[in-house]
Amino acid sequence: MNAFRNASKNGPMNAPINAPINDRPGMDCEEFEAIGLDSRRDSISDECRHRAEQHARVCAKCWALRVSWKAAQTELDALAESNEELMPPARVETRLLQQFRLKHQAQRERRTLKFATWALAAAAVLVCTASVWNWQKWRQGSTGNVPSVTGSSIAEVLKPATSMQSGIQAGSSAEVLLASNDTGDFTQLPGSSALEVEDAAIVRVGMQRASLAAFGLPVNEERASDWIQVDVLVGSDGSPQAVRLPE
Amino acid sequence: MKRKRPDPHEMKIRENDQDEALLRLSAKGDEEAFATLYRKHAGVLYRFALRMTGSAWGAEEIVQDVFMTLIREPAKYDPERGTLPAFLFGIARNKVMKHNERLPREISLVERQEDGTGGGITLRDSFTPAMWAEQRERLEKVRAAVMELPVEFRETVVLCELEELSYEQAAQALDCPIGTIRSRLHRGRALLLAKLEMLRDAPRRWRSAG
Repeated sequence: MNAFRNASKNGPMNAPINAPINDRPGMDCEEFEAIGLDSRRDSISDECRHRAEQHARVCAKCWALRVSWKAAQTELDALAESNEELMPPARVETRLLQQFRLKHQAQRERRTLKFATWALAAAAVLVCTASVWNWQKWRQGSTGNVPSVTGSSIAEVLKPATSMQSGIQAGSSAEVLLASNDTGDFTQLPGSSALEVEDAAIVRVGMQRASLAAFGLPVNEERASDWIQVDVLVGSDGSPQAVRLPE
Repeated sequence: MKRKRPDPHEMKIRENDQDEALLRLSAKGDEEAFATLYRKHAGVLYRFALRMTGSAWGAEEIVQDVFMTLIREPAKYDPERGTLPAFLFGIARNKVMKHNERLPREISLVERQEDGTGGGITLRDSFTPAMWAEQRERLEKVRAAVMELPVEFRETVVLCELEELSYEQAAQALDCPIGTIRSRLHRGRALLLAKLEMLRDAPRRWRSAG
């Protein structure tokens, strides 16, 4: 006992773990107490075991310590052997496996739900993208071709030539008046009526500006020979009802 | 009487790899992998907990808690920091401490199998009832001597002497340097020797019967 106490205070326990005590030629009591009792361990080299044996043969105190420890080890071995096969009750494993199944079942369900959510979201995005693309495609197509319009919408966009006439009376040029209608509104031709434009169509035509005079519209003489694009609203009877200058 | 020695280094590495592979599979939901892990490590953890708490139901609870941690948070185990058994011992040790704080220590330790068969003494044909009783009594005394050791020495003695873990494994399990393990083992042995001194002169008829 005393040997243990002394060794614990001053012995090689306080030395670094890898101190080369195994490599020294001899062995003193402190070293014996530190490693001599570990002779069953694989970490102790044969040479070290041999030196511990040699020391125990010449040191009565260490011999007695070794005998005591071997006896204690026998008791401990008996205790360890008596419990070697001791296992927790089977109910522990059953409970744990139940918990394991519960956890992973819940996880699987969560994964499935997550996957379904993502799949739905992806499908929604695809549908939206396709719709937008189709709409844009339709829009591009519609601006390229002049669509036919119904009478009611034409009636809404038509503006009476009286406003234009009042503009003339105010001293503004026809070019300016027509240009002011370039926002997409039609200028109703004199003598036509919005009521007569059911099933009318818009026809884009190229003409010299001077031809506008044939519709009864004022023309700037300086630019009368210019070629311009004009949208003509043609009524169901084939007569022009209104015109506009597209951008 | 002498038991098999601890595995060589290579075998340990292979076992660690195997443990990690099983844990990976278990984390993915492989029940068989989890059951294999449990059967591999539950025994040593249970014995450790039993010897540290002195209570069979306490040990049962501790083992269950350790493996519940493995079920709930398998990612808590970091192979870089040590082996899986060391990780499991670490959790078990914390649970033991909490258990001991919560409840008074039960010195009387009767380790029984689930089927009710007693303290694990293997009956030999040559055993007489007197020998059996004597051996049983001696084992109870050794158990009591181990249980009476201070906790830090007891856990080292249990791991290194009874479960025959290497110093390195014990150091990982108890999360301390190897030098501390050596020191604690040295003192634990000294205390244990003193406690077992009284057994030394007692008759050991059963041993001659083996």
